[in-house]
Amino acid sequence: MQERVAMGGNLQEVEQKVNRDLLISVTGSVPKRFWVAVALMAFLAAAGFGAAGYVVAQGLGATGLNRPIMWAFFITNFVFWIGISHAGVMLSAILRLAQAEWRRPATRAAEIVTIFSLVNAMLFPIIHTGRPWRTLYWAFPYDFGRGIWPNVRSPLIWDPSAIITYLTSSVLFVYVALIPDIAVARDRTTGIRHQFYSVLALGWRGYPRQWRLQIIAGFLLSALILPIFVSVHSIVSWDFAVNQSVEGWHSTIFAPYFVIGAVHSGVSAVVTVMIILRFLFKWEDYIRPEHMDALGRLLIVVAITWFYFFAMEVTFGLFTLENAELGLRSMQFFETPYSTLFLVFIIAAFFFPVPMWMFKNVRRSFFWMTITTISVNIGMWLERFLIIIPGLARKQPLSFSWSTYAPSVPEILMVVGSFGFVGMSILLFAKVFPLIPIYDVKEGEILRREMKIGKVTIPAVIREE
Amino acid sequence: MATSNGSHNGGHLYQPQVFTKTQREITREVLDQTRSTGPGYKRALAFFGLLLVLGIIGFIIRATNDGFDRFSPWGYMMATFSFLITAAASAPVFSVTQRMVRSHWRRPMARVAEMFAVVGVLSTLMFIPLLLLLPSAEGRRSIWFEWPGTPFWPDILAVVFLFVLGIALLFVAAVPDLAATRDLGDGWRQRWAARLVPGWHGDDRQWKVLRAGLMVLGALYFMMLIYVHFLITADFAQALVPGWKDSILAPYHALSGLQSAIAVTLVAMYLLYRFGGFKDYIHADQFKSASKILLGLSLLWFYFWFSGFIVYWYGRQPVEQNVLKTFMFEAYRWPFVISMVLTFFVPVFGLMWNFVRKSLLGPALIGFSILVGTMMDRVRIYVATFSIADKRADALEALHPEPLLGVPTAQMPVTADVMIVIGGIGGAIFLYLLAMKFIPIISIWEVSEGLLYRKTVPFLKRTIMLMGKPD
Amino acid sequence: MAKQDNGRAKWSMVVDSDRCTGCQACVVACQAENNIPLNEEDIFKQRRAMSWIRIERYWEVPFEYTQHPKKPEDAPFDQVKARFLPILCQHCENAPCEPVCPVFATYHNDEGLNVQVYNRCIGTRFCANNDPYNVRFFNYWEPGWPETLRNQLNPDVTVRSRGVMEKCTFCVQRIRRTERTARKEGREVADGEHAPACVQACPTDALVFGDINNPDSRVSKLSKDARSYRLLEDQGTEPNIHYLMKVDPFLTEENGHE
Repeated sequence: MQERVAMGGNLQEVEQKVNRDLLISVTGSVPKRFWVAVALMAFLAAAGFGAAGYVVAQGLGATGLNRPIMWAFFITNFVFWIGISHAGVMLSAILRLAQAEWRRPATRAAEIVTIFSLVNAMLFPIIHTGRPWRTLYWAFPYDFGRGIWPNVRSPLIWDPSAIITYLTSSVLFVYVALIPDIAVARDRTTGIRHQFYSVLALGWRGYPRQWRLQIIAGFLLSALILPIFVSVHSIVSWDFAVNQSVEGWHSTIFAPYFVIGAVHSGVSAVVTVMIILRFLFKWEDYIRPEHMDALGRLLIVVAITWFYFFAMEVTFGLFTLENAELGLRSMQFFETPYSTLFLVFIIAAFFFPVPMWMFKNVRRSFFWMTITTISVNIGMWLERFLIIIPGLARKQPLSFSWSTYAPSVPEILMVVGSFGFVGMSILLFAKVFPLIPIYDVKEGEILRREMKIGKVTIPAVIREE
Repeated sequence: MATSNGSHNGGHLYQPQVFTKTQREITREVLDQTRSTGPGYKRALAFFGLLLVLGIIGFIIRATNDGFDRFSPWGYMMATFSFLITAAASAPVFSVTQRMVRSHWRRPMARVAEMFAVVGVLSTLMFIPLLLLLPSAEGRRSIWFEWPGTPFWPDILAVVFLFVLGIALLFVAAVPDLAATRDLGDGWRQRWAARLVPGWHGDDRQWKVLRAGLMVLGALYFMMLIYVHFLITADFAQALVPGWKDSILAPYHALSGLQSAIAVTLVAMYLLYRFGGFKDYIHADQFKSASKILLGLSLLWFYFWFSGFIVYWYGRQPVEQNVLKTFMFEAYRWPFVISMVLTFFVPVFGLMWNFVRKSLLGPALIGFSILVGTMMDRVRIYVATFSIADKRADALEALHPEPLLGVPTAQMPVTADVMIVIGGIGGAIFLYLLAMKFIPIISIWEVSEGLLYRKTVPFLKRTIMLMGKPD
Repeated sequence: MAKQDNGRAKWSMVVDSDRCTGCQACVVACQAENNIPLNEEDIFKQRRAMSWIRIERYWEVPFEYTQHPKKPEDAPFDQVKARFLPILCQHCENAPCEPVCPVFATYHNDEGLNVQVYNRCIGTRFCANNDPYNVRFFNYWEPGWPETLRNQLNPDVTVRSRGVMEKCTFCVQRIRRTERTARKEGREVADGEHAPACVQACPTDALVFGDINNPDSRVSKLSKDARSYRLLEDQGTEPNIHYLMKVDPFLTEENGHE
């Protein structure tokens, strides 16, 4: 049995309370700690952008890259943020299609995490190229005057195609779900802000036909976005897996392994973000322990699946007992500093959080959910690092060119800055738009009922079959 | 999309009768059905029993003619075994997962899926001669890294344990129904049930234990099944083809297991609906919801296949090209094409339509197509592997054998192989039919429980359905 | 996937490891010919040194010291042999580095050369990752030369900017020059008429360059030698460089060789 926080009163009062609470950032005044958080994030982001400017000005010599470790922190961070971006669709599209009730307060936060982490992730491959000012050659066939087109055989062309498609559809997805809420904001603001929301609300009046269209669009987008969502991280994984020359990368399992890892880290990130928002905007009535409970259970399943894929990848890498693979894995597992990182990774990503989530008290505690989900993301960042670097450091089999890698200060600053950038963007977005879908929460309240069976009362929901 | 024609096929014309029944009626009816053995049933039992005998004869022919020294005579037997593990042994997982997410529509389907655990008798028996073929893991590449006694004891333990867990799951889930047989049944069934579940009275504690037991057994069964898929693909496929290093194969195998699990359950449910006398219990809800999952799994099947394929195709290493040519494009091209069409194109382009999903026959036919496709897929994997393993028997013993350098020719089935295949599949159906008469094929307690969670309430101007969502 | 003979030359090289003394003359010659930035000490320590051709030095120990209880380090010094392997771009027919470039900055031309278009390159370094021979180099810094060396730069070779990949070109500028001369004089290019800088500089004649489509050329004869093999052939890259095995006078059957 779960406790349900009754929102009190009749439907009208509930609606008013929902409007008031969830529009607090738009119409009311936000707590001071909100601006402190924004300032902190902005500072980190500025440091990151400064470092990026330095690297572009100086050349990639300013990083710790060398030969043959041609990809390192930037690509690790790129893969990490692409991974985080999978939370949005995973949560909102799949749960919307599955009509899971507990999704309601989580969807928009998830989608926003998706959008900003995607934008952030896209910056990294660009900075990582030798000549960022020439990247127009990369994704756009603008040189057609000379008949030179991008090379569609390269996974690096599939990448921007998939990511830009994903970004476009995610923005649409968010926007379609935002329209009713923008209309609510429009009706409660004045002056320039009123005009801003009026334009964005696209003349939403809440007619039945508009609702029908909005719901159909939401469902269609949910279904259409799923293949895109799977494709994005698969393609990112193929950036590595198609490399026949790097031991440990050329593994057929990479695509699903990356996707499920992305979901693992993404859902964890959403939980972290939700808890932070709950703290910043005092949304205790909306983000409740039962939501954490459901997310925690989802995370258990995702984490175990991820671990299965991880185990398959390692086992089938090793089972041929080839010297090259044995050498690579022994470096990954047993040689400092990789062994330490590996230990931290496997504990932080799996062996610490998953047993914790098995306990209901942990799943329902905001404190422990914050700790465990942050731990997952530390682990998953290291996972990408441990895939990319050791493979390149031991590029087989010409041992003459083996190398090591240590990040430089600008690289570290950029990684830290990326967290600041995403955090700042989410917070600023939350200042302008309600981050918990107002209409969705109201709908949930309307559909929510209780049912008596014998002596117990259980939650129930209206279903039109 | 939803044409008027389509919506007619759906749930509107057909009202599930089960919601109007009382718990008592349900118990009575299901027990009566379990007891009745019509001429149709007897004919079917005799027919599939005959097929089983045929299969055993086929096996004896193979064993006396070829012995267990070479792999290639046993390719089709391995494919059949793997198909049974894929389709039948995976079916209980479908019920397990749905019970875990507490979906209401699974209720009439739960036992139909779990009952497939009895096929484990056959697959476990089939596995023993197959194990005789394997060389010891010492001094060759395998997932066992030269542990003593491997791969024999882990493989047999896993398959036997899977069977035991399946039967345990079936039994625990059936305890309340057996108690009903004990209290309301007659004849040998009553005595049998009384001996099996003497102490079940349905008090609070017992229900709690039952539910917790089902969860634990279900989770264990799921993990065990994934593990068995892993063992089979590793020991009986990849380790036997030098240079084949395909980490997606085990998850691909397991996923196609989940897909066939739903497929086989849909087929079984349709047959029960049509011929088994459960018209009131099985309704569009199950087919509609299961089809949605099946659609997703079919897409995933393609995705798993493709993510393995693209890496090999792009890598262009000679070994990889030979693996692709052997298993997909040259030697076993037709089994591959057929399995691709039947397990991907047919389900996806069929189940994408609402009216197909809502119908009963549509998902059942698509389920059948998936089963045929999966069998073809197993043929291409294992018959190919076994024919290669045979030619390279001495190479298998080496730690670093020469990688696969050529493409073998396809091995066609001979009469004995055909007998083994139809005997294996017919025997599975035979066992299932037999088990139906021991344990009620519709889970009485779960269907009755479903009645409690369902309530019609007035809402504005209409009457709507309220669904309880227990935690 | 070998290209059909299209009537044009297919440039190829033979590296006789039996003749190689590891003197590094080829490395210096290549450095001078191709405007490769100086590998100063700090560049070297950053592990970003560039040399389109390099001599990989391996120590060979008796076979028994590679088996488990013994360690290669314990081999007595008089039985340890230095082996040299000159490695340069293999100009693979089926080059893994080519399909992964998103901007077509590297491609295979119809003379068997794997060419790099510096102007087109944006520096994703994907090609370097998918190159099994580690022969692609990235300009991490803007290359610079001391004032006194400015006039030393080869006018026929582009000076690369920072942020692009570069690699051995088989001294394509020399190939073109000879072709021009031959065309002017109305004749075919003769075998051995031109060679890359490394080949020219090799004092022991360990490197041989020529057209492998011409059955009379030295390259095509040597490539059919019994000692001929290609590097990492199991990768299916079909390199255009043939290596000739070391002939070891001390080789006996006991130390593990046939």
